[in-house]
Amino acid sequence: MAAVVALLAVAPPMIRADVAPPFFGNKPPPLPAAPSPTASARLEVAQKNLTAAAAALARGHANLYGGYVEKAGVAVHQALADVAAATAYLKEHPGENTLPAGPAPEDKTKIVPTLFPEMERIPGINLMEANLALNLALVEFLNNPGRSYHGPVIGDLGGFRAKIMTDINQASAALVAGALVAEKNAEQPPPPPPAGAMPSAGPRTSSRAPGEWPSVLASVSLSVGLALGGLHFFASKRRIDPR
Amino acid sequence: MCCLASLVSLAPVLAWRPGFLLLADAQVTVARLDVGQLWRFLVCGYFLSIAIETPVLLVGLSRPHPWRRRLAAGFWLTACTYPVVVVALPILMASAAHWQYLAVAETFAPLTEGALFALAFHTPAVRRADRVQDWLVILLANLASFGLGWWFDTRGWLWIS
Repeated sequence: MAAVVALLAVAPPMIRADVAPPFFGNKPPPLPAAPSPTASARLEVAQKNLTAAAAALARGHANLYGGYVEKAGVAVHQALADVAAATAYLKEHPGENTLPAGPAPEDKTKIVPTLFPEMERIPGINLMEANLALNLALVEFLNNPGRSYHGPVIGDLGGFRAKIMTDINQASAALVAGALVAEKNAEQPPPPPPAGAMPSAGPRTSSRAPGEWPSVLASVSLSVGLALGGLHFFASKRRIDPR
Repeated sequence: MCCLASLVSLAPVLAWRPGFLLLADAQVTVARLDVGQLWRFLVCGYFLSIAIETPVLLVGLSRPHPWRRRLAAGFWLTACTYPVVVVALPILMASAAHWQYLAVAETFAPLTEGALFALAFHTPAVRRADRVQDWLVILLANLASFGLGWWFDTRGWLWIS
């Protein structure tokens, strides 16, 4: 994880076509659509993904990550504000909405954004989801940085493009920092219970998932029932056939 | 999809495989189990378990026991201990070390099976040497399933997804 963080700290966001997209759950993440021909359309896609990232962060256990989830949320909301400002700028300058064509692609491989190559190591499904959404938002502002990426070139957007990308990178950096905190917390032993506390008040009992105790009772009952039933059955057989 | 297999003794090997435990969050150090997976594992693992243990019992149990009884013992003994080993113990020992779980499960299963077999079939007519042989064979059956299960596991043939 540390290596990933170090890499992210020095490396700019990358577009890599040769890396399979990281995924969570059973479904792979959607591949980004072809670049939109207008700046406003790309801003709209970015806004949608940033909103998804904000929602995912809001569902996370913020207190587990040393306040970094909140920091990421602040950066995402700043990015959303800058997207809104860029949209307003485009309304005032409609000439910049139509994007000029970019350089011809070297191949037509689908682009795959991998801001965090080891995203699956980020603890918590919500952080992973937020990370993916940030990646998808960021890709809308990139201009042909990789050999396989091609499409119309988004402009400066009145200076907001750089601001939005900075916001997204700050949010991503906060996610990684939060992941490190969570990893460190997970490695530490649990705090000792306060003096006089009942054992049942500890974290172990509170961490029981629903259905665990009924399962214990059911499995023990099943075992005992089978044992007693078998003993009864074999005893009755022995009465019939004493061998 | 369920796993390829397990046996009474193998269950400890599998119950702690990566991916089998679900960590609730970073601060809770006690692993949270997927109870549904335990039950699914119980069903499919039981059959491979008896597939390994029953032949050992068929061949090894002492002479006074007829073949039908040996066969019945193969199904019955495992059925009696398997739910506890696969479902109850992983939940109750979720915070214990792996070796502790192994020790408890590997002691519980053969002892219980041996005691049940003795209660059911060791009549006064059964000689002491035969009784000892039965106990040893039950222990051997459990060890065989544990060893085979461990081997399967190291080769990646056992999983739960």
